Amino acid sequence: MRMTLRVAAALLLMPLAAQASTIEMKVFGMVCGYCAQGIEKSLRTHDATADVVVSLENKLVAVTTREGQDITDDELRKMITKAGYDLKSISRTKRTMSEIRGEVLEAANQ
Amino acid sequence: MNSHRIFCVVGLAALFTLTPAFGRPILYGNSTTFMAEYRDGVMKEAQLSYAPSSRWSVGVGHLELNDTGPRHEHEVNFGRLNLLLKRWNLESAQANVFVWGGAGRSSITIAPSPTPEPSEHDHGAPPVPGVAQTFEETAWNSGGQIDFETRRTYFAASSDAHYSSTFLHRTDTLQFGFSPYKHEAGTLATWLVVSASHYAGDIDENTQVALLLRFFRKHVWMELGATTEGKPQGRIMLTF
Repeated sequence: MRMTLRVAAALLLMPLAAQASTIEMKVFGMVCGYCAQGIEKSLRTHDATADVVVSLENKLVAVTTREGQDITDDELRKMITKAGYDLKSISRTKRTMSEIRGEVLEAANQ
Repeated sequence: MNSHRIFCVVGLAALFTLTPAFGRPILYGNSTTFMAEYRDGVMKEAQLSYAPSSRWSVGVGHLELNDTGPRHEHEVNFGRLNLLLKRWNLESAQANVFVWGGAGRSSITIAPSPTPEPSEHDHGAPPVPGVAQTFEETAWNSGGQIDFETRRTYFAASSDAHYSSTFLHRTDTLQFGFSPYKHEAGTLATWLVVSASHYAGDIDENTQVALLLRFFRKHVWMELGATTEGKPQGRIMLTF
């Protein structure tokens, strides 16, 4: 009975995990376009990286991965640190890059 | 004394050549940067540098001077290493400590005079009518910088020393920059920069102030302005 419940729970959670393909990171120290370029270049060296968005206003770095691939928190921390910045938090969300880009554009126009 | 004056001019030129781009000697890791600069009545130069990481970069450059006397052609070819010693990343700001050092070869050529005349610079040998004279020497450079930057303000203080067996030149620079708006990644950034430099060493001590308008977007960076004496300056930088 306990095993059945575990399998059922795993099956229920699987779709959520599959949808959570956007990684959002709070990064400190980003003050200019060159900061964004450096971080984006560092993240794109990872084979699993599909897309990157950087928002100076929101101190946000968002990454999507290629289908079926992932980037671990340790790898993300190393890439951000190597680029010269401080990674403060990592969250995996369901937001699309289009939504995030829209938010960044809105912040830039304010 | 005259030879000191010549080499000090070369040292000053080397200083211009080695002025950190964007107020910083390192932009970001795994980047290549080409920079060209023109200063009216003073110099024109080009640099190519590569930063393997965000912590250090190496570069080479070529400089030509045009303000060091009639019939004089001055050139400096150099190499340089820049190090980021320490960075503080704050929520909406960044501060850095950089140091740098390098070596170069300065070359001074004096075109032949149409008529015999005494040399205006003592290079150790009298000028021969109809024959150009060339003088070469190894020159060294070392310095450091601290800076603090937000998306609206920028401050930097730096000290730079250039020296050889025959000259010593030092400059201390303060820069303050202001941006009228907060630019976002990928959008146009605009800065107004006030730069004050104090020159000391084997040349007459003096201070120069320049007002500069700086723009950059993505891979292109440019700066236009003039000194308080009205001499135009311009610089363009491409990073990829």
